[in-house]
Amino acid sequence: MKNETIRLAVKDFQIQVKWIKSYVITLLVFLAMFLLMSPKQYQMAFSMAALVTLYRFINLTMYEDEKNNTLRLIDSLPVGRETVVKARYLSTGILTAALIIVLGAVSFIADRTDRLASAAATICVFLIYVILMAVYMPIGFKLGYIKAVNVNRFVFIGIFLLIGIGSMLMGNLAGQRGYDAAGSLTSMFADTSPALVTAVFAVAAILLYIVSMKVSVVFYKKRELF
Amino acid sequence: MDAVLNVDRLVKKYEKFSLKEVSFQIPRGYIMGFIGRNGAGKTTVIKCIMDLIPFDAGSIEVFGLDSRRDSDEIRRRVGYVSEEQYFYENMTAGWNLDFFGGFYPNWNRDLGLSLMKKFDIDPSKNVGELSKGMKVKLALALALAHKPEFLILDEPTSGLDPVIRNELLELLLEVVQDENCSIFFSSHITSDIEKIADFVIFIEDGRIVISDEKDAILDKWRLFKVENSCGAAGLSERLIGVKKGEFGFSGMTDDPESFIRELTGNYPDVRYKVEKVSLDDLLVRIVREEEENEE
Repeated sequence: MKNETIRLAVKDFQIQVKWIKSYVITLLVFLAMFLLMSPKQYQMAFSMAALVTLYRFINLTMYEDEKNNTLRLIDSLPVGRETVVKARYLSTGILTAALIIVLGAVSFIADRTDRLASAAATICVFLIYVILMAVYMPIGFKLGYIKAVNVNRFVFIGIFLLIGIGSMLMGNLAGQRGYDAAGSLTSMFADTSPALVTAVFAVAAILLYIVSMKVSVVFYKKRELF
Repeated sequence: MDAVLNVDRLVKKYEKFSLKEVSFQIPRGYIMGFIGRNGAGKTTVIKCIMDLIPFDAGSIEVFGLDSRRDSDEIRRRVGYVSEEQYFYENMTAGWNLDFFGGFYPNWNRDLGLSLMKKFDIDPSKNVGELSKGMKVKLALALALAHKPEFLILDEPTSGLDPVIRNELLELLLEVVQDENCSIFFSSHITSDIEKIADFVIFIEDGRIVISDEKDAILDKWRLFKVENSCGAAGLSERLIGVKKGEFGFSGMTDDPESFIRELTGNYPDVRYKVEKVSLDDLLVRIVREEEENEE
């Protein structure tokens, strides 16, 4: 990996140091809010709080670049646009990995009864994070922060609606034909080696992330910054 | 001629504006002033040179390298200061210098810090707290601290007070003398260019109208003020940027001898004055001429 990529990725964290207090407060507020809504669903609460943190991180990096117009200065340095995109995916990837490790550890330590389910849940959360980022970041690189934020509101609402409608349809199917989708998934996890499930999901997530990065590179190379 | 920059028939088309086959060269070790009013095409030419925007036709070579194919190599050896200064405003000046400077292989941190000291920039101050002049100086420190062979400055003195402008111009002269660095300096403030440039290019409406050594331009061009009493107004067509008044007309030419011959040959009793011109006079008259031609 090039030094320039690492330098740019580190910059994404450095420029957010001033937001640390705000990050911690937001994380705690969301954690408390979700725990109050469903006290036993601590995994869900932590997942949602982590997702908010990640979404905020991407938004703030894009916001700082756009507000200060620094992408223009970076564009005039001996740094290719591809490197700029790769660096953003690297910094976001590092934060995602850190959050997933913490989430996995929390789930693993807290839920001693069903660690398989905990691992599967963590992986699902990981996949959801990656899907959301894989959708959001190319839009961000194509349109810039201000437009991307507005477009993504609708995209994310669409994704959650699709998930909701899909769940409802599966529920209806289960009711009509006696097909229990959730049960089938659970038994599939139970029958398959957790290591294999983890590996398959992880590879799928990484592939999706790479495809998203390639799309972002194409978009960003074509974007007119001046 | 050993040219550090060679722009050849550059064409860039926008909906309402275009660069029309712009061609010029900058010899190594000299300062080239790039003059034109706002919107004449100066920044567009510079962005094409830096490969920040694509162009439609022509070619640009910097150090003999193709501006599009070898843009990274060119950027490593060029110091560029844009019209506006873009830094992370919530980070300190020192952090910004280190961060952006670190992308240059020849980056000299000590030189960067000593330049900041010379410019009275407090490295611990957030960029957001710096004045426009200070930001320009920070951008210059960034552009100079990797020892560029060629400096490209896009209106760096615009919006600065005369004292800071003067300091900046003196610094540029030092850079050329000490580092043997070539400078391409765009501005609509002609007095700045007149102070430091060796060569001058005038651009108007996307077209190069004059390109020559500064001294040659100032030697050649003359302002004629001709009284109308003898009916010589017909000769005003031989001049550019003509102003007509009740008592006569004035205009400029780069061939004063031939104009005097024609004027005195046709109108022996004519009364006229010949004056030297400044780059500012030239810019104003050229713009006037272009506007009249458009009408």
